Amino acid sequence: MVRLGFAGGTFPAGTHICQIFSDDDERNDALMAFLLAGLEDGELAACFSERVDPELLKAHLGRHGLDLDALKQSGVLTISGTRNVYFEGDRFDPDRMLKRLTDYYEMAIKKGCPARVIGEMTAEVSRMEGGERLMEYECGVSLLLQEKPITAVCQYEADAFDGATIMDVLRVHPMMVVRGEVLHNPFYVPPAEFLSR
Amino acid sequence: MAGVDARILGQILLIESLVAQLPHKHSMLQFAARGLEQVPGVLKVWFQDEPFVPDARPVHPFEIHYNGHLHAVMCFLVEDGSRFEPLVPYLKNLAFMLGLVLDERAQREENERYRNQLEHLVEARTRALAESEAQFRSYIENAPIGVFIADEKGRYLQVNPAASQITGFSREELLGMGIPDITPLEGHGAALETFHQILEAGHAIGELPFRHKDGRVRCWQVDAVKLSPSRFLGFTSDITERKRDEEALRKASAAVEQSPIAIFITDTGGVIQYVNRAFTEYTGYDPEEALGRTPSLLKSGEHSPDFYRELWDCLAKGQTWRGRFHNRRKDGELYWEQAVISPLRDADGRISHYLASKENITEALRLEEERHRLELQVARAQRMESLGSLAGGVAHDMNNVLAAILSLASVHQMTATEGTPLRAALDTIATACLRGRSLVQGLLGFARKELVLESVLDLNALVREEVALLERTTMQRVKLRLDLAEGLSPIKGDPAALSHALMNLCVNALDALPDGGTLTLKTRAVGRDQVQLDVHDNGCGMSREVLEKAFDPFFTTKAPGKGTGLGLPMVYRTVEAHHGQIDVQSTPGLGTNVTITLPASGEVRASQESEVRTGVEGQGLRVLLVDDDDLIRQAVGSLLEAMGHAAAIADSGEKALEMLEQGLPCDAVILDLHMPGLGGARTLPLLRALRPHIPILLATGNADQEAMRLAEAHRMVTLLPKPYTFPELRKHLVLPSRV
Repeated sequence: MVRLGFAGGTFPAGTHICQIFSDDDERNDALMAFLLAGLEDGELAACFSERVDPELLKAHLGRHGLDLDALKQSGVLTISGTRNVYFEGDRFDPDRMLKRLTDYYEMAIKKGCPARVIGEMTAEVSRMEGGERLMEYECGVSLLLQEKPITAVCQYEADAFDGATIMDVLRVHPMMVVRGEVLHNPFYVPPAEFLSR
Repeated sequence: MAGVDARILGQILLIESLVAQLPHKHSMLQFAARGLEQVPGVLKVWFQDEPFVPDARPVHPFEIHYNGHLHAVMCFLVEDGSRFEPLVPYLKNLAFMLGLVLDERAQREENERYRNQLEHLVEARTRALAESEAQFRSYIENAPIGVFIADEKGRYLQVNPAASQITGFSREELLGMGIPDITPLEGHGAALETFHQILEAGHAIGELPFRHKDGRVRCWQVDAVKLSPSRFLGFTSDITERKRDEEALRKASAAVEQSPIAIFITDTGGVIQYVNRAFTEYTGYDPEEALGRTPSLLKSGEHSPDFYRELWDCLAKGQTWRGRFHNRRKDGELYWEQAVISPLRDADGRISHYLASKENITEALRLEEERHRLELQVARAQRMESLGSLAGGVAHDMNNVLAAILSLASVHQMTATEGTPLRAALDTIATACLRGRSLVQGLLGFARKELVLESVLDLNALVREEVALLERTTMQRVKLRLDLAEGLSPIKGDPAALSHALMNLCVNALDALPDGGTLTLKTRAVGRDQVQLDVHDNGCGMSREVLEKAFDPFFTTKAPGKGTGLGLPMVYRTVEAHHGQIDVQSTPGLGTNVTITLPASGEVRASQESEVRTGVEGQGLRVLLVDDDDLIRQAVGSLLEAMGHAAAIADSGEKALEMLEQGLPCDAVILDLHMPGLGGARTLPLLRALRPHIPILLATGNADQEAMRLAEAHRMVTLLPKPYTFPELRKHLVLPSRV
């Protein structure tokens, strides 16, 4: 069981959670709490976001006795931008992303510790080649995490996507954050079912 | 809750939970519609703005409204209405929640819009205020007048550059000073008074002295207001030069006002806007009567329209007009003024007013006229003096010539038969000689400086004698009026000369009355020492030019042969010889008045009976003719022979005495007065000594006082004026009767 940091309680490793946030504070609070909880619990942690503030994060971790640079240096913490990870080569490739998650999990296994990932999907995806495969990717993640239990949080900015897309995103995440609480998503459609529609 | 799947309720609740996170209405409704379409049995969900209009399909509408505002209508197309029915309360709740969120969102957006507008407004106002404040500061900094803020003790708290420039102190220096520091001692009282006025009334204006940094005491005008009990805002201007100019202007105004020259100012339309005191003195019009009127109120009608047109033409060209006006005072009296009228120009060089300065020259003109008259008199006197000298010189010779001609003509008139051409020619020669004699006597008349006779006379009697003579000749066409003062003092003078003068004046008066009229002779006393005689006619009168020349010898307006031009000059000389004055006033068309003023005599008038010599006309006498002129000797010798006398001839007094000493028999002597050598005057007593009882005719062309005295000094001596006719010689050549 793992702690998420931004919500009470513990959850099974490999939980796939969706957070729809409305502002930077909501995003950053969740992001830094999630990473801190994982690092404190000896997990490998990765963050794929364009808007993470390194100084803010460094200070936050520092306040809890963690050295950002050392963590990054040792490979315990990976910080990278959404574009570099999701849109490499100006293309969104769900298979490449799933492979990376797999590799990341294998690396954690080798290190003997669990892994967690938090990544922010940006609206850029709709204009990106392969962007139409976003839901397919999220379904793939749900399926992958059943075998390779990385605890994953997908962040979507409410202002950046239209309401229908937000609802579609909810449908491919089994858990979701509602008012600071992580709940089972009543709109969740299992990946096989979703993909079969 | 029975009959409703918990998952469906969870979905509805999740929609309710998340929908508020979405940014705008469209996204919210999209989110809700997509979520509700996941509910089993729901075929389609959509939202529309208008209230639901049912169509053929079974559609379930839910109005999304709150607080009276309809935000949208949520429509459901379902498979089975009965299965849908249990969801309706939850969907109504969702609709209500959506309405609440949308209303709150709309309210927030509205508030946001208002806030933005307000912020923009505040921003704009703030910017405008800042600009205004900057502008105000700029105005104050660049104001041409001094601006300062001072505290209740007069210490400067703020000053602008102009205040520094006015006082000479820099801004920093002034900020360390106070009003009392730059107020000289003599200005403290006024400054304190102004300060108290500001305290009481909140505002005051004062003209106060201040000491410039260079030490000079200058004057500024301070206009101050109280901002608060400890703040005063003041505006100052240095008015030193203005005060100086005002003082100069005040002095200039006083000078103009008190000037003895009349000054008035008109606008360009000629309307009087200012008059000084002298104007009122000259014209009689008070300022209240003159202001607002034009100078035409002074018009006398003496000047032509062209005169005024030329004046205005000159002024319109921007030139100064100089000239004389003959104007009329308010009381009607006419006066002369010398005027200078100049255009006044404004700062742009345009004519704005006219300035007239006028000097009353009436008295000056009168004096000028008087001076001119006196100059004429002097000139006339000088001309007569010189002419008199000339006349005296030529008269003697001319008389001799005339005497010779007249004598011979007279001799032959006696023998020539009347009616023959010879007799007519001789008559003409004699007439011409007599006219020539008259002319020479005229010349001698004003050449004479002294009176031939001087006796006490009654002027009224003289006038009456003259009138008696005139009445016989001219009174048919001219009315004669006498106005003689009773008890008039006698005068002392020559009755013949005065008679002659009076006759001349009367003849002139009569000549001025060719169509009849009135001749008035008037006498009166002027005090106790003078008497006056007026000879007045209401005839044609004389022009000024004629009047000025009237006393000039040989000037006459009469036809050739009618006047010699010596009448008035003789009168003038006669009056002068009597120590009197003569004045002539004449107006063309109205007549002439000649006034003679003579000194009164204190003596009692003697009898005017003249000594009458009695005797019998002689014939066959032995006459000794003594004359240096060969012509006279020959002519008079012939005349005496023609008269039946025997003539002995001597060409000088010496020769005559010699002849008498040698025993020349002689019954009478004709002795020329003016000869070389002893001459008549010295020969006469010697001759009388030799022959005490024979009559002597003292011949002279100029019967002056010397001749009179000689004649009176010796017995049996008679003056014989030259030239003389046959009858005149015969009348004088008598033997004394033996009583």
